[in-house]
Amino acid sequence: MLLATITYIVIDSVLLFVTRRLSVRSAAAEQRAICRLAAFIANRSGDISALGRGIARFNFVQCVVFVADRVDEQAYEPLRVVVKYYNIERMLLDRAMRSFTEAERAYALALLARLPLGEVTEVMVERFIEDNSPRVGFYALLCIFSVSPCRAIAVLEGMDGRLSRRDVAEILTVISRGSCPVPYMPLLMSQNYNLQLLGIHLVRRFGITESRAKIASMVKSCHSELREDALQTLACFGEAERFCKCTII
Amino acid sequence: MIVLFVSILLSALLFAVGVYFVVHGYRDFCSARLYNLSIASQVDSVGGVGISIICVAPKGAAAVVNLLDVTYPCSEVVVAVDRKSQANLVSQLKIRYALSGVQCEDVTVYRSTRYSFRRLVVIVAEKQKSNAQLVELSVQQAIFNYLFIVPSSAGLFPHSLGVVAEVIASQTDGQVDVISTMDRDVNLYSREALRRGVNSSSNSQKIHIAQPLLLDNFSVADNYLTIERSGYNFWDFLSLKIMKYRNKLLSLRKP
Repeated sequence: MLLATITYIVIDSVLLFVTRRLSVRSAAAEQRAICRLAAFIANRSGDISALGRGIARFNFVQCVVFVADRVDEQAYEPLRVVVKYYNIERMLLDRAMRSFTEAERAYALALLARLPLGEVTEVMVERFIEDNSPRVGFYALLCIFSVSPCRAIAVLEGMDGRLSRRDVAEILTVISRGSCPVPYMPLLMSQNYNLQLLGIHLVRRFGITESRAKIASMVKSCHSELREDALQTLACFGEAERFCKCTII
Repeated sequence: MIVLFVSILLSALLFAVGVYFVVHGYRDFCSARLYNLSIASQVDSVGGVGISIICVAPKGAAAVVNLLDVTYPCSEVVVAVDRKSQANLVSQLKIRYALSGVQCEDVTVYRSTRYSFRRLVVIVAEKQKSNAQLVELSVQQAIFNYLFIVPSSAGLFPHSLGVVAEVIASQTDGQVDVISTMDRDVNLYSREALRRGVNSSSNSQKIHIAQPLLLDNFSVADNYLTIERSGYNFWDFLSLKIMKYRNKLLSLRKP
């Protein structure tokens, strides 16, 4: 028993040493790639072929996504150039189509959703909406949201299953990037649970106080699980005091 | 023959342990990777989840600095100290964060006068109090629904609370009561669960987060920031997991 414990500790110490060396080397390469990308985007010039040097292809894609998550719309043009040059959309779509595990498919689509996509990708991603895994279907929906939010809302209405609040937060993060406005009133007036949930969180995130009256009427009339969300939205607007006698509290 | 048999058995056992570790670890890594990819928790609160970090008798000002570095916006840090044993720390915190206090009986509650440190609450007990009493005082002062009691010798990764908030917000069937983590004896509790008594209720909803949230030594935080520079790296995840299991094994051997 003592021998087994000592052997186990020795083996995992060796593993620890090896994995730390690999992670430090990988992290250093990724940090250099991110610096090159940031310089390329800021200056809008530079050798585009040098951006992905010295780093594994998939790690470079993760670096591009990391930068895409942290820049605003003005940086999308140079990012689009990088994505097109390295054929990143095609690579991630192929990875999603060929993966055996749902975790890999979901991750590839999650990365794709964060990039500036073309309409062709939007069409190709639709095949994943009906996937057996709800996670894969959700990230395919997120890809459509990043291209055309209005069309994605129509797809969401037809989907089974309920969104969680975390899913809604991810959708709102994607919507926040784009300049295409999403009409909130059809979402609030819909009878669909997912659309109502999205609408309530959308008006809260963007501070759309014009929806105050509609949210107030929804406190009693919407799905019972959404009443707390509606009340919290009113609280953000400073209206919760009027509803402090509401029976849901 | 017996030696050969024992060595074969040992090898098979080690191999089985290794395979289990890798398969289990890869599954946890895939789930952690998706949570860490999301930046929703860095931008705004996720699903209205608020988390109060409670730290009793931290080791120094560096511990408080580390706790305030969390990126999740809907959080606060409640630090409880005893003036008799940590008078130096209290004066350091007062100067660093421009604290202003209100005294109530034998407890003084300090908050920062600067907007950038609005998430910090420091509770100073003027008389000697046990750690359990300090935790109770902290729970009373905390304002959010979820309470994360962090050991005094540990720190947090900047993304830890974001991951916790996303895991909680991804549950679709009711409120979560207890969230256990990979770190030994470290859990998050909902305020409702504490009020009901967590262990007494068999209906408590418990979930487990299979990734490390605590920094065992917060003074070396820079080494762990490699996880956050770009996508979630499998080698980082694996090395942290090995370290956590090794620490667990070593701590079990201590009396």
